[in-house]
Amino acid sequence: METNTALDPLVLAAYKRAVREFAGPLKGFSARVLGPDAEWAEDVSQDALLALYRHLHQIPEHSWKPWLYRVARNLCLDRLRRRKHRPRNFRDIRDDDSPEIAPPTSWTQRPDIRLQDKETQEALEKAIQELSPKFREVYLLCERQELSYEQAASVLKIPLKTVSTRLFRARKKLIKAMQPYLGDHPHR
Amino acid sequence: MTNGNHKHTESSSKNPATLSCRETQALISESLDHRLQSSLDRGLRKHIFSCPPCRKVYQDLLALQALVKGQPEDQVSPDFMEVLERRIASGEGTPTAALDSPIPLARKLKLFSSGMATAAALLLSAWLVLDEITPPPIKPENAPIFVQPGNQKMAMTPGKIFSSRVSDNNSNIGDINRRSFFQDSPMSQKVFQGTMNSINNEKLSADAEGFPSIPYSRSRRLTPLSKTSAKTTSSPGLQPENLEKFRRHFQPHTTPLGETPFARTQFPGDMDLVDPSLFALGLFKGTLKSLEDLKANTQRFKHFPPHKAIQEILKSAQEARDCTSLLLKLDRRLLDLNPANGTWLKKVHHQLQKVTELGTTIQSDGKGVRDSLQKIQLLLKDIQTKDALKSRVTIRLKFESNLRDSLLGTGMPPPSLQRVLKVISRASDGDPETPSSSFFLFGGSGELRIFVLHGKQK
Repeated sequence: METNTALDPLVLAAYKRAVREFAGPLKGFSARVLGPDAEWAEDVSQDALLALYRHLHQIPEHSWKPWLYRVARNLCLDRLRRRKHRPRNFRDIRDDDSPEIAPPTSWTQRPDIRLQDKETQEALEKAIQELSPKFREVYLLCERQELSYEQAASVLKIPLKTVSTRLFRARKKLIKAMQPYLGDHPHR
Repeated sequence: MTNGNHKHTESSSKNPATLSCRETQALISESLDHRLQSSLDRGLRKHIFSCPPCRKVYQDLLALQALVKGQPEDQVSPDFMEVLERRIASGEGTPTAALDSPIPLARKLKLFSSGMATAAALLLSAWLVLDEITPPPIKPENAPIFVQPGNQKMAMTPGKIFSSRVSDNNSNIGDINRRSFFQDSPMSQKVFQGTMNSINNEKLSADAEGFPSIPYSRSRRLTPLSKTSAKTTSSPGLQPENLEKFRRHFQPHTTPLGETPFARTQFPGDMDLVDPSLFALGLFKGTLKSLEDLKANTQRFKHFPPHKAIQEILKSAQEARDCTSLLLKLDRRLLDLNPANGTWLKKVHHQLQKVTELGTTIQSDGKGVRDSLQKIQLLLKDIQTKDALKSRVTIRLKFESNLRDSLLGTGMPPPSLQRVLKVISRASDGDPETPSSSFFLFGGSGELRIFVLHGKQK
């Protein structure tokens, strides 16, 4: 069923809340899964939320979050698969002139702190991109998107223990890549 | 946010006493996500405290987690909602790829080979059967009749396997946010060092503003649990009603705790820098201070009109009662007060309850204000803080329960909790001994977070 003519107002309100809550994180997750094709991330986020709207009567509210991530992952993988067969005639602009992935937290910060934060952010994004897809997905879902191990296992359709192992390995790899920045971190 | 029903799965069989470094390091990651049983978690932390390489891994993982948490949230374009609504209104359907999970190449090959193997087996068996039942002289025009079923199987078998793979099961997945409730209280290097130092130096003294120093001893960080506390769950905060309560109450990016000498943006880590022992000490000192304030107010408002005096006294009494209430609720959950302090605290709490009850009856009928005021003053006279100030405060932390979970587990209404934290903040302000100078409680993205900032403002 693709129509929602008589939606419960409470469900609709919950859906609107979910859009506000998940649109950004879904975009972030998709951007990091898509890698060089991150410009599609917002479309993926919107497609996932549209799919949720069309299936509101089928998905219980407590399952929306993992369901959305599963759909977003499917869409991302579909994009990546199609990209393999797509001729790339144009230079990837993003490589040369990469925009900030997210706006800085505040412009009231001191410029040197802002610069340091920006460098750290870029290094972290680079380190995440350098993880192999299977580690990256688990790391993004569990650490960045704050899904439980069980939810991540259901999204990726892998055993629970595999989630735990991959997460630990991903963290270790990131620690190795981010060592200089961890040393300077103010919380240490 | 790990769902309690699902946690403690595979690692729970490990014996905490015989953990090797390799096992420990593998478990640290799970420990950070609050997925270990309390006994294993305690064993793990014992090992971490005594083993420098494992401690390094632990600190690195904490720092990485803090770094990731400090990253800005991803934003969508301003017209995102508008475009989505337009697409919904236009009746656009679900993208086909959304529900169709792609099959990895390895699995495709496996499926294909298994399909081929089935087809080959069927062909072989068909050939053998046909070889037996077929009469030797066979007319060429009849041959396709026998061959056809075998061909159909070969064509259909892989198709059937491929079509059964798209079943998507996403039901029964809890959506309680793991980090919002189970994120550990990551300690900064400073707190970590402080903790290590305090283990070595058993006695610490703390001097609140205008207060005589409270003899404060901190029992060893890794104390065995008392019998009663061992029975309680390690994460009392795992209560959906609490989650909803806090989500409703805490709006994103609000700082309800009055003055904030540090700008939040200077601490982008969004991490808890909470040393529970300092919090407990701050809470005890805050309670004493609020009681002192209450007594002072009773004197100060002596000559005020009774209605006004009652209002002011009740305000202070409510604040003090919130403190005693939280202290009592946290006692044996997060901390163990020594018996003398515990008894005193219960008595004071009882008195304060009587005071607030008297106050509410006056407010409801408006009669006998003077009599009630006298009764309140008598009740407050009975509250003695001198003995408590002199007595030794023993705070025994329990490792399986972190501060945030413990606070949530008390089920105190958020306004009361905020009042208490304000009191603690006031009590620790200007305190030369206590490194924590400010406590913050606010809900960035709807979560409860507690910040204790160490050091003085420059």
